[in-house]
Amino acid sequence: MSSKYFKRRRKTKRPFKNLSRPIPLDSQFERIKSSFPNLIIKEKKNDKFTVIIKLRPDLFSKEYEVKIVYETYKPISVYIVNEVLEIAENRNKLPHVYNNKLQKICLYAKDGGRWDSSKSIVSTIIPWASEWLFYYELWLIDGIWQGGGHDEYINENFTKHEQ
Amino acid sequence: MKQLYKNNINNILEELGKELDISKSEHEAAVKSYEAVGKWLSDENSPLNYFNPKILPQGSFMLQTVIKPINEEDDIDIDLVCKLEKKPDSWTQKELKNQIGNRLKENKDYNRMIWEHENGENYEEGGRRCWTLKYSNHAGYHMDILPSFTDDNLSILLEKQFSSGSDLNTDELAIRITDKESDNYPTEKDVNNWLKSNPFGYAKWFYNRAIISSKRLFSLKESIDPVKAYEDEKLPLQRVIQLLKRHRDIMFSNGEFDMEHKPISIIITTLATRAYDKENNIVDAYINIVKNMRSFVEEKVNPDNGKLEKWVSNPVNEEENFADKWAEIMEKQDYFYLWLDKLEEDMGNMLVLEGKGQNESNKFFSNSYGDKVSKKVFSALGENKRLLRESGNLKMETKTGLLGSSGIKVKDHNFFGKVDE
Repeated sequence: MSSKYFKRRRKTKRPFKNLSRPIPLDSQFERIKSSFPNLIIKEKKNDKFTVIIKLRPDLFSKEYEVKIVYETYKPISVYIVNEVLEIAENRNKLPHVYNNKLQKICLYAKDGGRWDSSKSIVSTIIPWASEWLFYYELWLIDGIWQGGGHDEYINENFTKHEQ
Repeated sequence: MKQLYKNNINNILEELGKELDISKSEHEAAVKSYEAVGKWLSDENSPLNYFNPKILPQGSFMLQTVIKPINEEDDIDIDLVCKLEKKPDSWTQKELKNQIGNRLKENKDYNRMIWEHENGENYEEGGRRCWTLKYSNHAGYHMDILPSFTDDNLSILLEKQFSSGSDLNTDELAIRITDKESDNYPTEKDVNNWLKSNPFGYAKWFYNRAIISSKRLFSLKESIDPVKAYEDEKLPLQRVIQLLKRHRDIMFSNGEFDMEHKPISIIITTLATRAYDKENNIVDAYINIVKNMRSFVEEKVNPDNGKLEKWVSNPVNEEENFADKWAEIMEKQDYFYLWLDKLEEDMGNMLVLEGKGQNESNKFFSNSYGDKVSKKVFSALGENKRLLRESGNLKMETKTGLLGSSGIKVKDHNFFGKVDE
């Protein structure tokens, strides 16, 4: 009975996005584990976990190891860890990364649809990482990022117009 | 090989085929051009009007296996038959050729186009069998018009043959053509002693094998309609032939070979069509054809010199060997087998691209079919995936992270990152 009442209450409160409840860290961890049973657990504490999962976004794609570091009250961090990623011939750094050397990839914009702990890592961060890898391999072909998001090469189009 | 991977390859081959094909507007422009030629020849003021002249597509344009040339500046060849009926007894081969040539030259545009092909070299007498009209660089094609006499009832026969099933009595579709290099060119008046050719019989043979019941995309009849609509959806055999022709063009364009001797399209088309076993998708058709093409090259003793020669017989004229030049010019035969070897090797590699990276797959398809078309296909894959996500239809498989149509729904988001590192 009580749960039924609770559900109804939540529904009415839904429009206030900021009031979405955070998903407990343990629950985030369990959800990842059940979707990716082969994960490697590097670290698991009450307020932090580090796991490595394998992702292959497309049948043509390579398989990559992706490290996810999640700590309560901190932004989530995602790294590609199994290999030094190549750079497209006409570029000098990876696209959409926070840190090129650490291969720390960036998956969402800070404004608007910002990620927060009310969102399930398994249905947001992980598929986005898989998408990142998908577009990264296409980017290797010609240095063009096709995944959308902010324009990495805005000056390039500008120069083209000038010529 | 896993079915899922096979589907992926099928998708890539299909998209590559579309990129190699001429566009709808190119097709329509060509049709419009040759219809205009037909109209000019049959116009009531034309001296040829009495002979009921008609222009019909033949060759790859009729089989719908045309591909774009590798170099954008190069022309597409469009092969056409110009058929006349009611041959006057007095006409020789030369007379027919010149009658058609003269009428074309009466039109100042066609006159210029005949002149502009090969810088007027064939202006007086035309090529060996054809008159060639060189259209503007912008149009990007030239037309080979083959003068011929046909049975007075050819149109009816074509209609009959191409509206029914497998009856392969193609002899009655044969036409008589002229050959500048034959001894009797200026003298022979009996059409039965002229060179025989059967492009429509060949087309009937081809479509009989190409059409699969489960995917009957258009009626056979439409293939002989001179103004038939552009077909966006091609039959698996048509797509495979386009891919094979492009594979050949790429291989022989690297400067290592004398392009002159590359395998000719009619040999590729004939062998592929013989090997095709009504597979209903491109990848299965491709695998079967590449594996088995080789076995359809026959060997026959040449009665003139007793030597064993390679044969690729014309399916509608067993006497004709499409590979007759191989005996004279060894490179032609060697090149054909070098190409087959490469084709088989590349197919083996194509089937094991799984897990090597999309960029590596792109490299493979670039090497086989061209840089530009391959990039376009992979780029379209990226675009489609992004649209799928934005419309809320992209999903990710658990355990593997595979993006597609099953698993967890992928929420929309924007990639970000520091602009300055």
